[in-house]
Amino acid sequence: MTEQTKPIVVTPEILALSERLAKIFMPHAAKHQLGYFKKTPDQRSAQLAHYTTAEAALNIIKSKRFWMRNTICRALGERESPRSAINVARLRSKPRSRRNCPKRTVRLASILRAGDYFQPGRVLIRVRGAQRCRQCHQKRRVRLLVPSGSPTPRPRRNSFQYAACMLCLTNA
Amino acid sequence: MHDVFHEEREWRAIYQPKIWPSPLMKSSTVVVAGVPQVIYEIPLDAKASDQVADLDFAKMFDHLIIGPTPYVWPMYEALVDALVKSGVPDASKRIVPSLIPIRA
Repeated sequence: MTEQTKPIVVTPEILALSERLAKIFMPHAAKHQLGYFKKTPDQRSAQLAHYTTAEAALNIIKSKRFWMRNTICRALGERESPRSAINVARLRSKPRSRRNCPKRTVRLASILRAGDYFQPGRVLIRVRGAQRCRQCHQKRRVRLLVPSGSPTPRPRRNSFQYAACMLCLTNA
Repeated sequence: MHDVFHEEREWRAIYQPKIWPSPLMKSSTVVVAGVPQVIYEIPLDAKASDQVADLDFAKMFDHLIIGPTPYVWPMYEALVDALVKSGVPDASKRIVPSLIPIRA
């Protein structure tokens, strides 16, 4: 038997190691995974629903195969989510954006949450002058999230009450 | 996690062929919506390997819900036929229409 066709045997040790590594490197995903797949002791399976088109469902049934596609080729919203999270991570890595931040540690969870916040179709615009942040109520440079599309989106004066500082936005 | 995903409890299966390649995953080049691309296939067939015997489609499949469509019964018949050919027992009892009314 060649190395290429050598079967992979997933032993309990490998499973335990994967579980441990997942808890370290992907704590959010691991928490949900364990919560779902280990509701009862010695649970080995769980029920999942796959939402797809009739055409794709028929192809899955006929071929007994699931397709895994490149995320770049998938829907715009799906590829924008991780990109937005990366942008937020870059923003947060700047020393200036972290100045006076009560939470200096860049946490993966907060980046992911912020990634959800920055959705396609919405843009952040900077409000001139220091305003009061709607979340931390401190006087800081604030930004306002508005729908994109208009050529020069500008907030109206009364909309400043919804503006938040970058620290609160990324920790949202 | 975004509220929408929380409601759906959405899961993503990720495969990284360059980091952890698996001999069970077969790649092929297909054209989807005019875009040629490499895809990887998860086998749900006991014939593919003994290792995935537990993951055989006929064993895994529980039931199928047909979403809102004006063509429920033609789809029902086509899906039952496909399930029977895939070896799913009691295929006709495992497909249910959602009965969600279609907006005109």
